[in-house]
Amino acid sequence: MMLANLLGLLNVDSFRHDIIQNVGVGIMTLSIFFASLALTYFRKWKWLFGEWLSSLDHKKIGVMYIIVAVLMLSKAGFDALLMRTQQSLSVGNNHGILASQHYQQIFSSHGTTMIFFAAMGLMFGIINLAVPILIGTRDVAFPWLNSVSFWLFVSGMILLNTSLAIGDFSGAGWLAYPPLSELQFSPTVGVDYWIWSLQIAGVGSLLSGINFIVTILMKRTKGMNLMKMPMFVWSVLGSMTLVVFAFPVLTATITLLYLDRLVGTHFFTSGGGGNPMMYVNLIWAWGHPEVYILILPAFGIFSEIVATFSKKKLFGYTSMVWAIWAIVILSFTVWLHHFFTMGAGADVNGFFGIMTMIIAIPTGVKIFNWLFTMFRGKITFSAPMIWFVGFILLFSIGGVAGVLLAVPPADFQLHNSLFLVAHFHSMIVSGVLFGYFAGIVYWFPKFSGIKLNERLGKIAAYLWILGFIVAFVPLYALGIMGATRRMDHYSPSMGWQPLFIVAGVGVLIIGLGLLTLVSQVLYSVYKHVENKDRTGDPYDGRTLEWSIPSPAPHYNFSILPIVKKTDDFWESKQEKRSRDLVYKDISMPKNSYIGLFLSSGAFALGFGAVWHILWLSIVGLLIILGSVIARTLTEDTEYTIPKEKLILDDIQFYGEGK
Amino acid sequence: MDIHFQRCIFNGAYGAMIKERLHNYLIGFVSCIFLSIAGYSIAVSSTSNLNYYEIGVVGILALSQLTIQGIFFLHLSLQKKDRYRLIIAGLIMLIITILVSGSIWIMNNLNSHMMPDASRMNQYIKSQDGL
Amino acid sequence: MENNLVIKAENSKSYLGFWIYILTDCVVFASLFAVYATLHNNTNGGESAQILFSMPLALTQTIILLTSSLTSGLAIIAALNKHKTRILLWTVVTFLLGSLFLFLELREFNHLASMGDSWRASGFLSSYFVLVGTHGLHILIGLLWMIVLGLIIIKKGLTAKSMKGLVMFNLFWHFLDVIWIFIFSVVYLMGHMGL
Repeated sequence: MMLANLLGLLNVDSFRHDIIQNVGVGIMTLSIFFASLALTYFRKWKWLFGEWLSSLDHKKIGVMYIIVAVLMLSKAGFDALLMRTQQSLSVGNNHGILASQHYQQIFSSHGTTMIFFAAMGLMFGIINLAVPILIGTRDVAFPWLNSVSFWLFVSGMILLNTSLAIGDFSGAGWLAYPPLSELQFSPTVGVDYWIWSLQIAGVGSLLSGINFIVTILMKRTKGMNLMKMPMFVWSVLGSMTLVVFAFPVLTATITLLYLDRLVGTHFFTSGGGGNPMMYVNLIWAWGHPEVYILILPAFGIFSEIVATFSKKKLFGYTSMVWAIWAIVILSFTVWLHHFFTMGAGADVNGFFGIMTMIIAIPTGVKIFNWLFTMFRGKITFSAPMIWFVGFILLFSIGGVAGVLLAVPPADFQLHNSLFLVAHFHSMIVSGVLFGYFAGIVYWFPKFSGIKLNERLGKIAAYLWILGFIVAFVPLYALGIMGATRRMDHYSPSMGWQPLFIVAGVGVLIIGLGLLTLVSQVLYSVYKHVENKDRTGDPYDGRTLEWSIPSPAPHYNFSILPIVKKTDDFWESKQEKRSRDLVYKDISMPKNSYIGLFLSSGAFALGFGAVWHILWLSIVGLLIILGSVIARTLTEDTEYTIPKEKLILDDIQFYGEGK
Repeated sequence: MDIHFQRCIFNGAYGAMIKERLHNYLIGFVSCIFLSIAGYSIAVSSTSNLNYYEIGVVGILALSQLTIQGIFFLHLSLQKKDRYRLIIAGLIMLIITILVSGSIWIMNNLNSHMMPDASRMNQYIKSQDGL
Repeated sequence: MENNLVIKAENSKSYLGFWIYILTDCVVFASLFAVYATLHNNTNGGESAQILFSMPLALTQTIILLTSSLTSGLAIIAALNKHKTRILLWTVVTFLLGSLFLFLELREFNHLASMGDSWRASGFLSSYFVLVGTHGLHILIGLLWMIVLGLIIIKKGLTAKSMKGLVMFNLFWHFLDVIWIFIFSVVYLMGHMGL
């Protein structure tokens, strides 16, 4: 009896799964095992903990975000492969390889993992890597909070992946609509895993949002007015503003869902005075801004890439800034377009349909500005530019599909069909993913000191573009032919099977593209001596990050720059400006394990909440509180780097001349 | 304010600034007490149910308190040092207005399109008699 | 003036960052208000707000919280004057007023629940208890914060860090009063008028 209370809902059955899940658990466990083995063999545990896991360096945190994100991208990509396999095989008498219940968990996990851990992870990773350097400062406004954000992200990720091994995951889709997600229709812990991994990761995101807004507003280097910032930084400011406005709605809404499940309140239940549509309303009031949160920094990355590889100033700087803020405000006025078909009248549908069309305009402005930037520029079609070209082509097609969906009568035919699925994947894959891949490839030399192999990089980009077309154009057709999303079986008389098989081949090509991308990195690192970036400025770049050594030193700038114009580094090169070399001692934040500790408390809180293990949740909460108080009481949080070291580092990289 | 207190706080370089702060707090406090009691009086002495004018006035009193507390307690102003806070607060208020009013509009609209309950349904059927 | 730790605290990055955090908390409450607006008539056969809520109690709570907002401001004035004892004095007064507020609220919650009007009874009551209860939870966090802050000021005195903490707490406490004004107006006053 006592033991039963100690373990909440946990029992032996929680560990029993079907063979495919067991394979997944096996792969996860073996990866962790072999990683640990390697760390022990090469005696790198101290290095891992001291140099990376306790680091408050925004660059290291950025790299860790990206590594986690790519792992999650692979896992969710594997989910996609499973889904495509199922949909290629499961016709007529054949029921494929997955039971219905399992299929539902897979598409729910695919969406949740991709949005919250792959896409958000890549985004925060790149933002962390690039923003402080682009504004000429040494770290973000709150370095310790930055570490907390990252570890909360990891904690949420681990909680989500625990659902594969212990218990099950939600089968209610990536947004867990009630009444399906209520206890009555989802009696297992799956939905609770969904709720808590998002709560934890969501707090991390919110804190990052605050961190970067304050960083951009208050830590720009001297002379860098807001209107002289790189466009990427503007896009991050817009995106983080959206984070800060939108994430609290998610936090509130899924808490209410949890209360319904835990305590028996009637927020979104079908009876007792609840209103399930309120959940749909609120979750999309968050959900729509969320997709703009993801895309804005990707747009910003393309602004940097296009200007750099056209050797030309970004066209229409002011209109780009206005477009970002128009998107920020407008993204809060369109959310009903995600549920046109759910009972609103023509007046409401009409209003939101029109607003949805209006929001396409600022994006159009941006696309034309990029094209005008390229016009009469000295263009180099490097790997990042290939990603950009793929983006322009595929994102535009997906975008106009979206404008079609914005028409409520049309949406009544296409809502929740594969046409919709193809549309949003066009936006997320060719917009968000291509943008972040391009950013990683573009900035890779700055963070590693190693230039990436161009040939492999271009092949990876082409494979992704080709793979995307093969995987998703069939889905546009299928959607118009009437195929619904989240379908695990259909009749052969529909004639859909050939298209599903083609789409499956597309996913394989994308998989190949991902492998090539990873190989590009691994191979370039392997050949790091030949690929060394010796100047710090491999592209003859325009912005401040190219004015420091590669890899960027811990403190970024040995001398904080003073900026006069937009693209000041480029301007200073053209004007052959010389610098006053005045070095000063600087202080940098010390490492801290408290972020890691706090997040393990968050994990305990979440796991206890999922399995109804009260004592564990209380312990987790106390650990979180204790960590915060411990940090408050820590006095000794910085260390000094003497100016002699700064001078030495510069001489070592640039030689005596500079 | 007793003399000792006054001597304590109003001396020195910051004297004027602190005095102004204190006045801000007192003005804010008294105004808000007044506004709260005003709203209370309207609500408690209301004779007709669902009088939208009275409800509207209470709403305006609440918004006035928000403004007063914003200026006098939260130190919002047009000065350069408060400008970022003001802009961000303004933006959030806009977003909150859109979210809350939009949600109420949508949910009301959905509700009005729901099938009526039994008694209203009977009424409706009766009213359509002969068609 | 520039050397005053309180003024420095108010110009710091932490102040702006905390301000933004406060606004995100406003969005959480806005969502809860939107839920209350949607569900407040779903009484599931139970009694409505008009009948259930005591007006005098709501007014009492409002006055208590407003006064505590003033006293927390007086603590800041004391901090500007670098008067450690007065800071602690006004913080204790704020703490006592906040505790009284919370006590009255919890007593009312208990009373409602014992009559069968718990948060599981209907959509209306679920949204009422969570909206007002979340505010109460924030008050509780504020009370705990005051204890920690008080101990730090006693032990470490008026440092840059402790003044930042005081200034951030002050923002937090004022914002809780702002939220309460809306709860008072929408849930209690408008509820009493039939909305």
